Amino acid sequence: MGRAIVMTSGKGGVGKTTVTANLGMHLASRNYRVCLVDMDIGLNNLDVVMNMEDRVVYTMLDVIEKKCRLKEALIQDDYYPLLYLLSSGGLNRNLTIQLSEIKAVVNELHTMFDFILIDCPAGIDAGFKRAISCADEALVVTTPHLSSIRDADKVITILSTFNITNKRFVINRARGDLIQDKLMFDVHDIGKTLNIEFGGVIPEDDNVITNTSDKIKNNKIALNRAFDILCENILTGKKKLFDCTYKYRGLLGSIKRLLKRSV
Amino acid sequence: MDLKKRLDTIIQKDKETNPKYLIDVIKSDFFYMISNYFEVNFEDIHLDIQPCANSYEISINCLGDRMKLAKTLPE
Repeated sequence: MGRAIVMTSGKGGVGKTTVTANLGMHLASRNYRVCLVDMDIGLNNLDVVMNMEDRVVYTMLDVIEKKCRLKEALIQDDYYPLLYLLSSGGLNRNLTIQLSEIKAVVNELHTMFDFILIDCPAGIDAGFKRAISCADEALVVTTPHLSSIRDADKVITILSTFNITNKRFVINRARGDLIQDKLMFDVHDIGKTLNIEFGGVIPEDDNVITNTSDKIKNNKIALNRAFDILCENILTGKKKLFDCTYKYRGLLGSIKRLLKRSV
Repeated sequence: MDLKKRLDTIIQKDKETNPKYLIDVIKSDFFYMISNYFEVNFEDIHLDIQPCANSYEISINCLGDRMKLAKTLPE
């Protein structure tokens, strides 16, 4: 049986889809069978982030409507043969979807994959509840900003009522220079507030825009090291921390901090 | 106000407003559980949730009419 992990946040724009895509690639690079499921029905973007938008023929909605088999709707990644995408779409059709129908699709995926990463829509309405109902675990993605942490706290309360016991938080877009200057929340501040297990820290990195399947093995990119640690934490249950402030410590670090903010 | 204090204040305010709707749900669950052992009126259960810094203080006060007989206890 695979592990179904929902990526949620409450607030939009924190990087749920990006984290889902990158985490999927890293897990697949470790030889795990991974399926990325886009549950953001109507506003689906996972296919675009994965650079697969031209290859979508059938979606999850087609599977539910029995227009195709599940295997036909799965799109295999070019670089990692163990990585698949189940896209969603059809803005005008999502009103007719029953939770039991989506659960049936996810249950079938359980037998085929080691990891099912569910990209959850923003907000806490029906789409969100549909996505978390299909998962056994949750990764709550937040940025180190007040609004995002506040929404994450609310989402965690809701997750508890849905019997999701394994909850971890991931801090996305952390800026080492601001954390070092105490202008941004660090892991300990956020952990104390959210009061769930720590998952990982992903630094703000321009490479996230250009990071493609073939580049994720480049360990010189801090982003890849951070995702590697997140992967390890998920696989082993450890709480290893990626230190995004290491570049900004000491005299040279303080110069870097000054330069970064003056640009 | 510094960032940490602001975050604490916001979260605490949220916690103050959120539990209100939860009280009835918890009371009904508690009533279901305790009525296996005691004869209780729903109105005699008093539940209070007070938000603390990063947690909740939950107090349940319940007045039971009488204990149920051994034969009537759930198996």
